[in-house]
Parts: sequence; C-alpha cells; structure tokens
Amino acid sequence: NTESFFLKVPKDFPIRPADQKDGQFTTVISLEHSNNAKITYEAEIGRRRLEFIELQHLQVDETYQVKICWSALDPISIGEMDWFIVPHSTSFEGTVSEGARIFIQFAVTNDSYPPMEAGTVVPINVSVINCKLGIPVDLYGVIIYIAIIVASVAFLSKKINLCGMIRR
Amino acid sequence: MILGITLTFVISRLCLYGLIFLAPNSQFDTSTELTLKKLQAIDVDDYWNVHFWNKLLSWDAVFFLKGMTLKDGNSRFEHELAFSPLWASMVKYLANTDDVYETLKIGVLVENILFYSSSIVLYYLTRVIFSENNKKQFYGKRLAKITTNLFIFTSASGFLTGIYSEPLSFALTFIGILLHEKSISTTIPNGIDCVWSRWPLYLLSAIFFGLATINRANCVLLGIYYVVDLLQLILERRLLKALFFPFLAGTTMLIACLYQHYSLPYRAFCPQRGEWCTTRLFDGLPFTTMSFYGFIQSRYWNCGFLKYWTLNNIPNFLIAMPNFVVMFYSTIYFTRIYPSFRVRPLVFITQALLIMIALFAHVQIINRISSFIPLHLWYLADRLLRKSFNDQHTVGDDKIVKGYIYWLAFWIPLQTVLFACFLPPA
Repeated sequence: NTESFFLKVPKDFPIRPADQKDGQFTTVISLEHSNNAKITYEAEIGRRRLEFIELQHLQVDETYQVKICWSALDPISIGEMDWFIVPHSTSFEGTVSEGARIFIQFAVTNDSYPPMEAGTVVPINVSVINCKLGIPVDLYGVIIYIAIIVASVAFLSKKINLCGMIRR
Repeated sequence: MILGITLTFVISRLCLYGLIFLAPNSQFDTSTELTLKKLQAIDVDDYWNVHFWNKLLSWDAVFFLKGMTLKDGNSRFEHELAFSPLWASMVKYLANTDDVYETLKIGVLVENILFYSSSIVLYYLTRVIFSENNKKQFYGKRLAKITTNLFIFTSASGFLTGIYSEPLSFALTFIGILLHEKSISTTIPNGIDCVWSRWPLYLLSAIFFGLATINRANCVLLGIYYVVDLLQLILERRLLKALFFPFLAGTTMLIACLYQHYSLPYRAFCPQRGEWCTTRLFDGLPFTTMSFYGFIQSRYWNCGFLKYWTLNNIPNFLIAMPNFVVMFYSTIYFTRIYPSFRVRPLVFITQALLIMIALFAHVQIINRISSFIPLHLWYLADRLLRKSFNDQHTVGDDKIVKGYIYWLAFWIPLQTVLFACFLPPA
C-alpha cells in the first residue's frame, strides 16, 4: 500500500553550513550525495497522534516525492500527510537546531476489525525521491522499460498480422 | 489440437515471465520487503527471489500469500475474507510447508495448471455449444481453437502470472457450464429440456458454480443459468423437472453462497462486531441487509453505488473501456444479430456483470475478472472466422474486434510490467 505527496523546497530555504550541528531529531532521512533515500520507520499503533521525520540535505528549489509504503498485512491507514519548516533555533519535539529544518508528518491509524492491539509495531517504508521533469527519478527505469516494450510491440504488430495469427 | 493449445500457452507464459524477470527490481510500492519480513521469509535477497519471485507479490497477492502461509489457517482480520480462503487453503494444502518461497512457487504452479486446464475445458465447451450438428462440426472446431487462443491472451494475463484466485474460478465455471450443457437437450424452436438420466450432471454443475462463487463472489451471477431454466420449465408447465433440476441446483448454489457470505462471517464476528451484524433481517438467522463481502468491499475499498464515478477515476474507466465495449457488443451479437438461445443465460450474466462493475465496483477490475464468462471470446472468435473479416479494410463490428486484439497486444505486456513493478492500475 502506498500514499504519497510532493513537496517543493523554497528557493530561499537557508542551506545548512557543513559545520552546523544537527538538531538531534532521532528520525531522519538524509539525501546527502543522493537523489533518493528510504528508511523503515516503526510506528506504534495508538502511541502518537502524528509521526514526524526530518528531511536533511534537500536541494533548494527542487521538488521531492514523499512516498509512504506499508505492507497490506498491517491493516492501517495513513492520513494527515503534510510537510512543514521549523525555523532555526526553534524547539520542536524537544529538539532545537541552529538551522531551519524540514519535517514531514503523517498519522497512522488502525483500520481493521478486530483492531490491532495498542502498541503493535507497524514497519513503514518512507522514501524521499527527487523529481526531475516532474517525474520521481526512481521511476525512470520503469518508464524506459515500458517505452521499450511499447515500441517493440508497435514494431511487431506492424510486421505481424495479429488477427491472422489468432485465426490460424 | 491439444498440442497447439499447449504450445501457445507455454510460449505466452514464458514471454510474460521473461518480461517480469527483466523488469527493474525496484518497485514503486516498496512494501514487499516488509511483507516478506513479516511472513518470516528466508533468503529474501537470493538472486532469483530478487529478480523474479518477489515481483509476483504485488497488490492482492500479499493477502493470498498470507492465507497460504497462515499457521492456524484462520484469517485474523475481517477484510482478509475477501481473498478466497478456499484458494489459499488449497495451495496451503498442496504446498504443505512453512517456507514462504516454496509456497509461492507451488501457488504459481497451481495457478498455471488451472489456467491451462481452463483453456482445455473452454475448448471442449465451445465445441459442445457450437457444434450442434455435423454441418457445424468443422465450424465448432475452428471457433473453439480461436476462442482458446483468445482466452490464453486474456486481459487478465499479467495478474495470472502470480497467485491470484481467478484461474480457479475459470476452471470451476467452465466445468460447471460444460456439465450444464451436457445435461440438457435442445428443443424446437428455442428451448431446452432437462434429461432425467443426466440429472446428476445438472446437479454437479451447481456444485461447481457454488465452489466458483465461494472462490470469487462475482461468480454468483452463474446462478442466472438456473433462473433461466426454471422460468422456461415453469412456462412450459414441466413443474417436476423445474423442481428437480433448476430449483434444486439453484438452491444448492444459494446455500453455498449464503454460507460463505452470511453464515460463516456472522459466526466469526457477530454480535461483538456491531455495524454489519446490526443489520440482521430476522432474529435467529444470520441474514443481513448486505452480504459480508459487500460490506467489507464498501468499508475497506470504498465500493458502492456510483462511488467510483469521480473525475480522478476517468483513466480507470478508459482502461476498462475495451472490455466493456466488447462484452456489451457480444450481448447484442448473440441476441439481435445471431441469436443463440444456448448462450442466452451467458448474455444475461454478461449484462449483469457489466452493470454491477460499472455502478458498484472499481471498474478496471473488469480486465481481470471478466474472462470467467466466455461470451465475448465467442463473439470475437466468430467475427474472426467470418469470410467478411478483412484485416486490411475492417468495417463495422470487425473494427471493434481488430481494435480489441491490438489493444490486447499492448495491454498484456504493459499490465504484466505494471504488476511486476507494483504500479497501478490493480
């Protein structure tokens, strides 16, 4: 199961200096030297209303797809997905950073009968993927593969009489 | 003939499995690794698992695999009952192992055997229906061959590479229809007669239809066979036959349906479940206003009257369109243009399925589930057989037929790749 949304880092978002200290937020997805990254986040059912993850090393003026995937074996719903900026030197969830920070949030709720017990740990894959030309970069391989297949079928269907083949 | 069908089947399957193997390993939905971890699969990172087997675990396959690997054999959550416990138990029994990948491999093997068997049964079924007399023997044979070819290249092909429950329904349905056809004789001008000596076959058809319904709820429409027979026999005042043939068979099927979709879930979840349980119609009986299947479809997948008719679902309607058009035309074809009373029940079943899917379901599933009704395949095959069919300059109906076949040529590999990459539409 997948839910996703897009975020665009503002042009004026302050770039973090190399020597700046991290805000010590425990759950982080870093895109340092990469255009996509994924972590497995363990949500506990009923423990928190919202889950937060800090995104680091995003590029200014770039668009990213945030993708939240979980196994259909865990009957949950993901809602209240959003992203926001925490300004520098501002406390958030008990952590403070010298620089501005970008966070994503989402809610994990039980969606089953019988309901899962409170405290059940549900692993969730959270990915952040850079978008180029409006397409997340991890889809490029699939798109190229599909294009090759479609072109091949188009070529073959010109050469082969499909209806005739089926008739024979 | 069987050799030809086998060859076509094997080649088509190899092509699709080849496409899956060559598809990029990174799936859009990254949850397969979580599923495998939860199911305690070992050797997840093995070469063949990464490049092939893991790609067969997209969409509903997750639920089927869970059912096939359940330790105690019981579903934990109510929505899991939507994913054929019958099919899952069958593979679990045949696999007889705790190993996830072994179970998956047996599941894929059984899926292919059922799909192949369905093709063979459909071949003979087509011959039985369209070879009424010696004159038509040759025609029936050719029609059967083309129909079987078209069935092997069904619009559900991509999904049928995995462990979906459809092939079990195909096999049960086709055997059921064949038994029904074998147990009746045709009367002049346009009727049927149930033959007493073949009564067991008629009743057996209901058992197969019942099992198909337990496996996939949409097969409940096969009950229309008995409604049509019942009405005709009553109109002809052959009441004893009406009672012992369609009434008894229909009741058998109805009991199977009521057990699966009312009694079984009621005993499992009521009264503590509330909601669905509170809609009970009669005290002491587990009959509610809506079937349990309908309830969970509505509750978890937002199915219901016109609920899918939203602007963002227009692409899904377009994806479903070719099958809608061909199936709709097939009903016109066999009622107005070349009326055939032998396929009359299938015309009603096709019409009912189209209405049900268009108004109540996620429309794109028509590409996956529609092949349990062979009417549109017979329509396509019949058009292809006609002398008037000219591949270069198609007109009228033949344009639709040609368009549909070319659509299949693009759709089948595309659907297979989308499935392997865990991308919609499901």
